[in-house]
Amino acid sequence: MRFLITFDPDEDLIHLSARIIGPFGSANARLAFDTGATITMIGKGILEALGYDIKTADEISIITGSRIETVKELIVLEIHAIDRAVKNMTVICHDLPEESGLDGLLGLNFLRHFDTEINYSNNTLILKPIFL
Amino acid sequence: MKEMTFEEIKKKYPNEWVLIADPIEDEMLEVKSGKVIAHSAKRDMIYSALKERRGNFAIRYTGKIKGKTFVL
Repeated sequence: MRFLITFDPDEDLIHLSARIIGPFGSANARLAFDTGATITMIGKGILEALGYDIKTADEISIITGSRIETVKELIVLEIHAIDRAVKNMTVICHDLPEESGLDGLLGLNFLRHFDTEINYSNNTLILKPIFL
Repeated sequence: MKEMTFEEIKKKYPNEWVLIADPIEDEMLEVKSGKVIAHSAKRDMIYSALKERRGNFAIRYTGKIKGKTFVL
């Protein structure tokens, strides 16, 4: 089994749709496909709206392009993307700038469930699920 | 609330954030259609609208993800 996703070469980022499940419901959001991020990042506003308590979440340090920042970390009930649901997944709560047009980043703690091929010649991503 | 395709939503609310109820999605979770229950140029307004509701929704920015700012 493999999934072929066509991305828009006119856009600056490759992004995927993901459904984030919370105590109050779920939201299908657009997340950047980011093999440079070790962990998935979701905007605070979505997480709070879905019923997560960010104020009491643990703090961790992340290395960004220019500095080390302290952010909140929590475990979401489930993230569903590329036809795979990952339960109890750790995410960091941090907002990408609104101008990004995105709600977060899908990082390696989700993407490592797939063998991945990026083909810039025909603007496609090929993702093959790894069944561990 | 009228059911619209995502193409219709993009035309009616260009370069805005939208909150979509009852989204119909394909297997990759791309939104095909749904009912727009909030729209705004400000993303936080959409997150606030989501916070007032319970259920399954979709959030989308209807513009191109492209600009003069680069992402690292």
